[in-house]
Amino acid sequence: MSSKPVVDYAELHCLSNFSFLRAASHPQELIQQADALGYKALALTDECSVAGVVRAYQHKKEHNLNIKLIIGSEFLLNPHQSEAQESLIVLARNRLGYAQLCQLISLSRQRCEKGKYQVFENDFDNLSECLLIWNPHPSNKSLLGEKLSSQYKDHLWIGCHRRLSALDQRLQTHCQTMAKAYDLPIVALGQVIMHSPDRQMLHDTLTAIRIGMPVHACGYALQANREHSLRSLDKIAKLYPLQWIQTSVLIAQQCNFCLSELSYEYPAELVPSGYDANSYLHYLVEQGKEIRFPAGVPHDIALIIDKELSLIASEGYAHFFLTVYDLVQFAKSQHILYQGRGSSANSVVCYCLEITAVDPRQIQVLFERFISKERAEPPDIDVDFEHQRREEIIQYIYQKYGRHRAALAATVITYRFKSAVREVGKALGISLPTLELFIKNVDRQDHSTGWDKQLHSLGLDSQSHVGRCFLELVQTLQGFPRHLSQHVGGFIISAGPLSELVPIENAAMADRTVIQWDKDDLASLALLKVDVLALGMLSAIRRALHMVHHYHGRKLSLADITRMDDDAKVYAMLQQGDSVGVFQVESRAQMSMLPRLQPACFYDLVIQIAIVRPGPIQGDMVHPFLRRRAGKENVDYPSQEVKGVLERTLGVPIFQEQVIKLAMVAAGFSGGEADRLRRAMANWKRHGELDQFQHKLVNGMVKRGYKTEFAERLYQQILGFGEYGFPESHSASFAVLTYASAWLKYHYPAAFYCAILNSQPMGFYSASQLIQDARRHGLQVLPVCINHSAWDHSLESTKTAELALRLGFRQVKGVRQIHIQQLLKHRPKQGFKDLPQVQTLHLPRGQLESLASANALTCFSGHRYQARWQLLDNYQDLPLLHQVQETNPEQLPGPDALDVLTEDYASLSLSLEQHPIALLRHAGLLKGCLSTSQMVHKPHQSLVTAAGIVTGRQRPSTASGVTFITLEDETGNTNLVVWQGTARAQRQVYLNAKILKVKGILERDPDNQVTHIIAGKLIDCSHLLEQLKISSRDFH
Amino acid sequence: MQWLYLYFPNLQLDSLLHQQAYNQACVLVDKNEVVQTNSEARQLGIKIGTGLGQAALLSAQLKVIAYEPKQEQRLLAQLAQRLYQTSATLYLDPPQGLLLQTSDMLRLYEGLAPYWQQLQQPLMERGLHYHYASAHSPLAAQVLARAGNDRLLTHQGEATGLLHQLPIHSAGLNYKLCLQLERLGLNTLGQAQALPRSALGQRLGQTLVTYLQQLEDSSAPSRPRYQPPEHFRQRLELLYEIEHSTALRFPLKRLLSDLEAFLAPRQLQAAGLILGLEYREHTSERVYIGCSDGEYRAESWLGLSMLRLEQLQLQAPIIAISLKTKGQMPWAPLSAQLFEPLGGKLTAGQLISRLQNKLGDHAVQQVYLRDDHRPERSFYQGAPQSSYQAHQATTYLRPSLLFTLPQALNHKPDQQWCILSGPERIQSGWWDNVSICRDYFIARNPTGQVCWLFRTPREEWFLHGYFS
Repeated sequence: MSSKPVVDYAELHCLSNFSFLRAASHPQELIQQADALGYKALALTDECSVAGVVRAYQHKKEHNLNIKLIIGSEFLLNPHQSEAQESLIVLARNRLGYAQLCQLISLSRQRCEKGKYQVFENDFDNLSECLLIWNPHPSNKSLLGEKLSSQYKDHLWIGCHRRLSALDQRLQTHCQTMAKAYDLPIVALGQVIMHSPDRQMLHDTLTAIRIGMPVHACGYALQANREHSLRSLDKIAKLYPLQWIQTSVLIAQQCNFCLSELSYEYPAELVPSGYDANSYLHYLVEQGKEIRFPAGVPHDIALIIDKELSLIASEGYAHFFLTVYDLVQFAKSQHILYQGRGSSANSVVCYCLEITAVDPRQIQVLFERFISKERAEPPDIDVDFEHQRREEIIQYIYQKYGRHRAALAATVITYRFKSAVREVGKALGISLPTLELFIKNVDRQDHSTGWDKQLHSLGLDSQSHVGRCFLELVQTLQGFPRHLSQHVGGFIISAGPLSELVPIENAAMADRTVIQWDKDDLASLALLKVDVLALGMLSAIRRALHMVHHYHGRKLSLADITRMDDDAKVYAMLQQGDSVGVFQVESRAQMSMLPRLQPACFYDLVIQIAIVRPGPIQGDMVHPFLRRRAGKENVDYPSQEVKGVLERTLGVPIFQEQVIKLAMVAAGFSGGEADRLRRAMANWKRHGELDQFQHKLVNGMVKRGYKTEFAERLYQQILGFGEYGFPESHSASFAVLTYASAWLKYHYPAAFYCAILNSQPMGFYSASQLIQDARRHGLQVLPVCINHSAWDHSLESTKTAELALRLGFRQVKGVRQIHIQQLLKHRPKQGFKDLPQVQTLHLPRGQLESLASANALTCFSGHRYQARWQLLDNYQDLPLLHQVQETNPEQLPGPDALDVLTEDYASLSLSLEQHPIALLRHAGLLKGCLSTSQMVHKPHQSLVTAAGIVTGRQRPSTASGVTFITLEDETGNTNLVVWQGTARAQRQVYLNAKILKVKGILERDPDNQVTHIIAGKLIDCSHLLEQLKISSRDFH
Repeated sequence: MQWLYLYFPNLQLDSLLHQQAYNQACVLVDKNEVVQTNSEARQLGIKIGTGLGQAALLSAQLKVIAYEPKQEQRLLAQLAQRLYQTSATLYLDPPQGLLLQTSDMLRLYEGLAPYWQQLQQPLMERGLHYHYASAHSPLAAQVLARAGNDRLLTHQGEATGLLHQLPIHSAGLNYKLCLQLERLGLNTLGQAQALPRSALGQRLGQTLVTYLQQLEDSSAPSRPRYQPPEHFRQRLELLYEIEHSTALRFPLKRLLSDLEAFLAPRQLQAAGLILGLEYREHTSERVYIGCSDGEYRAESWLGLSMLRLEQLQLQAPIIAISLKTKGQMPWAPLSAQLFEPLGGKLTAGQLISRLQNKLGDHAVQQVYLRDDHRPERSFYQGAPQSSYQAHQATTYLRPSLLFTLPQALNHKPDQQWCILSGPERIQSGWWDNVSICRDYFIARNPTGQVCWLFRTPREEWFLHGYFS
């Protein structure tokens, strides 16, 4: 814009889509458009919220926009009333004003349930450093004007907007009357709710969603025109008196707060007197060295520690490490198992602080990529805790720092495809069943046919007017924020009241509060958060370690296991694909990768965890890596720099960090640019932001002498990676748990399975599958018994001195822990002698019935039907008849083998008796079917017939159109590969069968003996065992 | 006593599909679960209880319709109304069953077979799927029919034998009781019956004992038997939206034949019919078809109705129609009325019908307000309703005289005009593809009239109305 604008104008009243369902543009779009129109400033004034400001700030920064961004908020005195009403805009003049604004928002929000607020006139008393704009409304006769004008004489204005409505004149007259009455100046406002007039259609739709009616019935609730958008300066000049326009600029000039002023002050109490943060960290690290390296710190490691400490000191991150240290120390004192991960977690400092158990001697290669100064990225430490005990950590944080200083980060829940289809469809009057059909039928993983085309084939007339509107609206609405939710565990802890930094509001969960920013916002402002996450495997490992100690007298910690040398026998087990229950490598895909990758050391596990992910698979990195590892393909590097980045993964980028680093060393990206690339990768599916990097990346590499082909391939790999790239730093921390769980499985199987079972629900397999696996490994499993079982599964010494697994009451459906505890409390040492003795405990009858069906009372009454019959007799409940035994109770016929299975599955979800398939086999119903164990003897490419229970159907997005079905029989699991054509032709069986018989071709990889069946004919045999309640894990 | 139970597992879907041949998979869905299926859907493996997602995977072209229990109840009542001609004692068992007492009817029809034939006729005409069973007790007939027995049993022994073998889960017991029995290994009704009642009652409660007693109890249910309504009123939901009035002929014919079947046995006729047309967008229209001399035959009414409908312009696609009589009278008209003087005062309703009779229905219209920013759409004309109360929903200033078509002004208003207020910009209406974009002004013209003018983006000026 070279010519001087007609007027200077600042828009001081503008809502973004963070005023949920009230406005129709992203904050980024608003700031961009206001800048393009030549506005001097834009105040983002979402309703009782600053949730959108960071996005606008970040956008302005990234695109070097000239416009000034003002932080403010709009307050309605009756927010739950839908009629037009007066409002107050509060703008932050400086840092203190911003704190006052945040506190006002926190106060108004914390009064109400999640998502709502209530503000009273007296709440506006504390806004000395803010500027206020009062928007009076002719239909309100409140005293707000009088109150405010007496309090804030010199920084209060009356706001007046013109949007060419029939009421403009009335409003203007009213504003002028008020201005005269209170002697206040008037300022021009746009009351903006969309950045461009084109968003009217979306705004009308949002209104329809808000009031829950179709658009055509919304009538006057819709805006009459498009004047609520950011308008050109020419138009502004025509609409308002010049003085009003000039006033807007005067106000904007007084607002001098920028988000970059926010700095984070760490809690001071973590540093004891006599120390500062750095010296205390030094002290702790020195102490840690003695624990971690009892034989003395190797020289190279000592050097790294010094390097890390000086970096931490220069960046000022010492407090952050101390905060995390404090948390894990608490966990340690409570015997809660934990493990840190993230870029900074894998530092030697963190190893010494006992934040992580990743032994630096095992994977030295990682430590180069500790916090990098050049990447301007704040340190990242996530700590996983036992999933059943994470709440204790959270409560500790609240207790230690107080609710005013600690809160969870928010997660912005946005409209996704399904919710957008549903809401837009309803607004356009499309019937609900039709919408559900759309949603259920659209395959979002089908990249070859876009969802719009798929909707067309489902009967949406995409040429009709409504059809076109629908497609356009669904497209635009996706990515719009819907509401704020709580982050899974990201805590922000501050020195002073948090509400001076960012508003706090109530979460849906009682006693939880969240701040108004999400983790990306915090990262943009370089505010640090501590992630307190929950992980089931940690619970399992802690339990297993406890049992190892109890039954074998061996006391171990996670670090003890990693400190031992790599155990070849453990790796040998994994190389066989024998990994049920082992952390991260137990899925079907991982299991079939294990024999191919043949992990033999810790770093192999790090790769194994990261490689079986959609990112590397879609980026086509798996096969080159496997070929190179097997020595079938040469490894070459186009340059020394690239070699430095990719050498440890044989020239194939597998980790997210490698891709980022490549962009830096090969394409010359700066640290900041690389960080933006990382974020764009995380979001590109939603925003398509990656396109902007293509040119820079490819050109940068070509300029540095790389071949265009190499550059293009790398870009394609980045695209494939997308949001699914897995960071090495996380993979390394996970690998610790993978190794520890595999180690336990190999050396202490009884403790391992027992611990996993007691930590359910977790992991990939059901209790039934875990127990079958345990028995195949020779572990004896004993049934639930009223006289032997505890609530949890437990270990029992048997005559052969081996430990056996005794099923616990927790496996029985319908029983509650509180009642079982009562039962256990009164259980005599030698056990109950008969049913009446148990009945004297007066447990709810249903509890005993459940135990009867689980066959836990079999020691009293023959079979379970009889036990139930006996229990059901309600005469036993009558006190007077208590001793009257039924003289001659009816004898019910006992269950047959099928009944037993049915009852077992219904009450335990598993059976220690025959496997259902074995039952069918013995009944001669599966003639010609091979069992999984027999399959081993069949040659590659032979025609086989097999049958099993369908325990899982998976159609990974990475395998185009292929479905993997897992069939379970009495000897193991067989993998079935179903091609799309086969699936389509036999759709019904493919989708419905619970027990499946298949004819197909057996395929075996000569290198690693990985076997599967390519399905030909599918036959549904579910009718053979109709009553059996089998559930399958389908399409997860 | 002998009882017959008719069970219609597909009532709503059958009656929808009967209107029009449809050879694609089609299901009714309630809370995302399939509740009724046609044969094409069943062939694809879609069953009752299949989730909508699973059903959609099984058939990409699946037609999905929402299950409406109210609609099904209406259908059941309509069916009962029809069967009442054949069977005097019948009971509704909503949502999908009818119980008929047959003993008395057998004498009339001289045997079960001819009686059954009479009964089936209307069921087949309606294309209904049904299961049936006759037995010695209402409950036994019901249980056997619902289990798909489809036999007319005359001896109690036969029914008892069949009941004996019936799996517990088909016995119509509540889910909890059923589960309790199965978990005792009692998988057939016979196994439960074999145990002493007192022992069963003691353990499983009185419900089961009552149930077992009722299986044997031949007496009539305690609830009141079906009484036909005094006035005819019926509604028909359409499988397809109908856009042309002439296409209403087929569904209307069905309603009219039901009308005839209602009126004829009562020796009644109707002086007028009110045909309700339900539009897609939750509005409806009522069309009055009069025949002052009275008529009951479907054919005559169809002729009259089609004449009336041909003139009718449908406002939107129709999703359902309903029919009710207005002025039922005995076949022999009372001639005395002819000489009675007309009353001096008319209610609004009477005036409307008087005007309609004189001028034709379409000549009498009423203006209704509608919430819409677009002036042309802020009101509409429709069939008159005497009870309509106009309400002013907006505070906007609008002229009392609005032209149907805005009149173009030859030139821009000059100095002789005086702009009183404006512009008010109205730019709205994308959803029905009738968008407008206008700047409205209130202005006084040289002759002193207060006018409502607007300007288009192309700077054309129009006069749209006058203020009073």
